[in-house]
Amino acid sequence: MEEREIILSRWLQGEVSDVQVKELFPDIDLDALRYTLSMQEKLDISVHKPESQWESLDAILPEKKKPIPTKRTIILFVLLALALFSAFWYGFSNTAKKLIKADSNEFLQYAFEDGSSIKLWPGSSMQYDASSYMEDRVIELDGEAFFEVEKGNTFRVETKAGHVEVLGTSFNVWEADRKNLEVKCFTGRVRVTDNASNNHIITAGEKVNIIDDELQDVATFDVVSHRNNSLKHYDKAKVKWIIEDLQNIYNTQISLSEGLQDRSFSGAVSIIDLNRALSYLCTTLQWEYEIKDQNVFIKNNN
Amino acid sequence: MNVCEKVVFKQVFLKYHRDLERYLISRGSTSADALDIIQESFLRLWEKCKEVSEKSLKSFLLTSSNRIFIDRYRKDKTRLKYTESLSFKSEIKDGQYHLELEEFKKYFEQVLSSMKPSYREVFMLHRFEKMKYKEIAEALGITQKAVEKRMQNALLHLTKHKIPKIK
Repeated sequence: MEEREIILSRWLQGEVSDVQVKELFPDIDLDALRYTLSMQEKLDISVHKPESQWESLDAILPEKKKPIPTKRTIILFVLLALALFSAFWYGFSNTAKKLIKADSNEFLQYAFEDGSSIKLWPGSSMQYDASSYMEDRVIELDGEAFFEVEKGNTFRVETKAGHVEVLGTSFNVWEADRKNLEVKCFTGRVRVTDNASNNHIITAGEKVNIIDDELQDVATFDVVSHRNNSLKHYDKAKVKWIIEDLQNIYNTQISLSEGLQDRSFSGAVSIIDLNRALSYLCTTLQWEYEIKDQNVFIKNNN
Repeated sequence: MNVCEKVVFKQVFLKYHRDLERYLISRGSTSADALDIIQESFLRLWEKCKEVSEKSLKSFLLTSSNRIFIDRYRKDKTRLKYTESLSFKSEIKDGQYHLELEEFKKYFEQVLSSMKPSYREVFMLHRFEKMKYKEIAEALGITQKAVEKRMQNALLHLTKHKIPKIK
C-alpha cells in the first residue's frame, strides 16, 4: 500500500520501471507524462535582475556605526598600550583588577584582548581581572555601558542589581541606584539574571528591567532609534536617575526641588545639548529650569 | 570576507538574490511578495552581519526568507494561488515553434494553477529548483515520505490533463 503512494516519485528518480508502475496504475499514460516533463524542462521561473533590486535595498539600508573619532581612537590605543604594559609589568599571575573609568562629560571606548569592546557612559566605570579575562570574560560594571561582544565563551557583566550573560552580541546595560538595571539587546541573545537567580533570555529588539531588585517582564524597543548616538531613551525612569546621567554627561551640578526626585519620565533626552535635554524634560513634566553659573536648578511650575 | 562592509554585502546580495526569488516563487509566493521578503531577509542579515559566517550566509538567508514567507502566508492562505511566472530557458528563433511553446507554457501554467498548493510546492522545488526529496523535506519541515507522496500526487495531476503535443 505504501509503495503505491510513492511509486511515481520513485519512477521519476529512475528507481522503478514502467512495468512496475503499470502494475499498480494500469490506466496511466507514462509516455504522455514523460513528454510533459520534458517540455517542462524547457521552462524556467522568471526572476528579476538583482542589480535592479539592489538600489531599492541600498536606499533603506541603515548606516553602520561610524568609526570611532580620532580622539577616542587615541584613548583606545593608549589604554591598550597600558593594558599590555601592565600585563608585562605584573606578569600574568598577578590577579589585581584593572579599573577603567570614564570621566564626566566623556564617553570612553575600551577594547578587550578578544576583540570585544565596551563604550562606557560618562561617569561610569568597570573593572576586570586582566590575567583571567581570556578564560572567564567577567566584567564588573558600575553605571552604564554599551557592549559589543565577540563570539567565544560566555561573556558576563556583573552589577549590584544582577548579572548579564551573553555569547556574541551587542547590548546596553544601565545600572541606577544599585538596585535597578535596564538591559537592551541590540543583536544576538542575552540572559539577564537578578540577585534571586530569576532570569530572562532576551533577543534583538527586546529589553528587560530589574526594578528594586525585582526582575520585570520582557518588553520591546526600537533598535534603530535607540542606536541614535545623540539621544538617550528612558522608559518610566525615575527623574533622579536621569539627573545623575545628565550631571555625568554634561559635567554640571543639577539641583531638584523637593519631591521631584521620584517622579517617573519616559522619552528621549539629548546627550549632546544640555539646554535641549533640560527643555524637553521640563516641558514634558511641566517644570521649569534655570542655569546659574553652570549650575542647574529645576522646580515645579505650580 | 566582512559582510558588514557594504561592498561585500552588495556582492552577497547579487549572488543570492536570484536563488531566493526562485525559491520563494516555487514555494508559492507572488513575484512582488518574493522581492519584499528578500529585501527583509537582507535587512536582517545587515543587522546581524557580525554574527553570520561566510559559510552560513546562504542558509541564513534561506531560513530568514522561509520564516517571513510562512508568517505572511499563514495569515492569508488564499494568496498561495499560483501566479504566472514561467519563461523559456533560451531564446527560440523559429517563430512557429515559439508560438507552439507559448501555447504549451500557457497550458502548463493553467495545470499548475489547478494543482493543490502543497503538491505544486513540492513539484516546483523538485523540478525547477532541482532540490532532492530529502532537501525539500528539510526545507518544509516534513518527512521525505510526505514529500514523495505529494510529488506523486502532483504527477497524477499532470496525467489527468492532456498536454498539447508539439511536432
